[in-house]
Amino acid sequence: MDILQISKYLQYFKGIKLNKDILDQLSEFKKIAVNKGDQEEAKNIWCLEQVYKVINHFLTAYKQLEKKEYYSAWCKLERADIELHFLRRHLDYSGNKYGLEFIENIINQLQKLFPYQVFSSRESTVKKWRCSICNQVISLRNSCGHEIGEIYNGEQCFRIAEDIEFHGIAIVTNPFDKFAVLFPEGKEYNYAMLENLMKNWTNPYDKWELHIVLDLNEEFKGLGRNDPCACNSGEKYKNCCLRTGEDKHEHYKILFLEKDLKNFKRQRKQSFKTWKN
Amino acid sequence: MIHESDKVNDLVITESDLNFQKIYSKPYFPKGLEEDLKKANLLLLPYEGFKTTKGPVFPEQTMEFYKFIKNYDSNKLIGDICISDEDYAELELHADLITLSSMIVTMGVLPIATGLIANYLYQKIQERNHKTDLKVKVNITVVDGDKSKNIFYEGDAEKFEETLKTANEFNI
Repeated sequence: MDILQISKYLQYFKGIKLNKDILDQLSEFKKIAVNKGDQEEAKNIWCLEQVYKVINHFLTAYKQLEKKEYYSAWCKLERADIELHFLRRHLDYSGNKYGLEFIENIINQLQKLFPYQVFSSRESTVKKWRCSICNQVISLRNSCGHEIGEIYNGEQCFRIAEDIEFHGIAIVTNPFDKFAVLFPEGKEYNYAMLENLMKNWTNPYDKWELHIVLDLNEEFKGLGRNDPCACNSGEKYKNCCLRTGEDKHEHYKILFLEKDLKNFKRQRKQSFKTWKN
Repeated sequence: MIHESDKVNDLVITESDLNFQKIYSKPYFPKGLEEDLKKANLLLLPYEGFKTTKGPVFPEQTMEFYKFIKNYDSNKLIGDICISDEDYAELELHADLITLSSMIVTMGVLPIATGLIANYLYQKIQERNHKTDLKVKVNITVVDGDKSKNIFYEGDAEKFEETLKTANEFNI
C-alpha cells in the first residue's frame, strides 16, 4: 500500500484486527520523506501512525473487555486517550475522520463504567531536561528552539526529565494519567456495569450511548418536603437529604442505537457497589 | 499545592503586604539577573517549602508558561521569572489540574496579564477532548502604589477571565 491507500484503509476500517505491517510501512515512508526534507509529508505520516495506534489500542481494549481483562483494557483505553491527546493539535478529525470521534466518545463513556476511583500519583521535583529531538539540555533562558508537541522529522518533540528527586506518593481521584489504579489488599472491584455492557456490545463499532441521570432513592419516593427525613436524622426532609442530594443516586443507562430488538437482551435496573466485598 | 479541585469559579481577594521590593530581597532572587528582573512588571514566583523539597519550586509546565509570557505580544507587559536557570526546579504532581506559578504584577498591567493567562488557558482547553472541565489555580499579587492585593482563583479554566472581569466591574 502507498500512503494514500493506507490513509483510506484507516479511514474505512471496521474490522477487529488491523494489518500489522502498516506501522513498518509508514516508518519506511517516513524515512524517505525525511531524507527528501519533506517535513509536511513526514508530519502527515506521523499523524497516520497516531491514528493507527489509537484504533489499535481501542480494538485491543475491546478484546480485553470481552475476556474480562478489565485493568488491561483500562490501560489500553488510557493509552488511546493519550495518543489522541498528542494527535489533536495536528489533525482535525471532526466529521469522524478515521472514526476517531467515535472512538474518543466510546473511550470517554467506557471510562465512566469502570469502578476505579482512586489512583496513586508521584510527587517529585525535576531540575534538568533534554530535548527529545536534538538531545540538548534545556534551561529557562536557553532553549534549543524545538517546541514541545511539535513534529520534527516525523517525530513529536517532548522533554526528557533528568535529575529527578522523589518526594512521595499521593492518593488522588483525578491524576493526569490514570494508569496507577489502587488495588487495596482484600478488596475486589465490581465490574458489573462493564459485564452488563458486554452482554450486548458484540461489535466494537456498535453505536451506544451512556446516559447518567439522577434518580430518587426508593425510600424517598412519595415523601413530602415537611415529612421526617427517611434517613432517620430527625430533621425534616427539606432540611436534610433533599438539600444535600443524599436522596438520589446516579442511574447509568446504556442505549444501543442500532440493535435488532429481536436479539437484544434488555436489562432491568440493578444496583451495584464499587466493591464486590 | 494540592492535586485536585472541585471548585467552579471561586475568587478570593485579600489584602497583601507583598511587593516587588520584598521579592528583590528573597534568597532565591538571582543577583546576576537583577538589572533585567527589576524592569519586569510581571514576575513569576516560586513556591517555598513543599514537603521535603530543599529549595523553591515552580509548578509543572512553568517553563512552558514562561515561554508563552516571553512571546506574548504586548508593549506594556514585561514578564520574567524570579529564579536563575541553575536554581529552577519544577514540582510534578501529575494532576489533571493546572496550577499556574504565583505571580506579582503592577496594577497597570493587570488587564493585560489577565488576558495573557486567559489566552494560555484557552490553548490548554483546546488540547483536551472536553470530556471534563479543565480546572485551574491562579494566584496573583497586584501592586498598586504602596498597596497590594492578592487575587486567588480556583475553578474552571474557561470561567477565569469572565470571573475576573465581573469582579473588576464591581471594583472588588
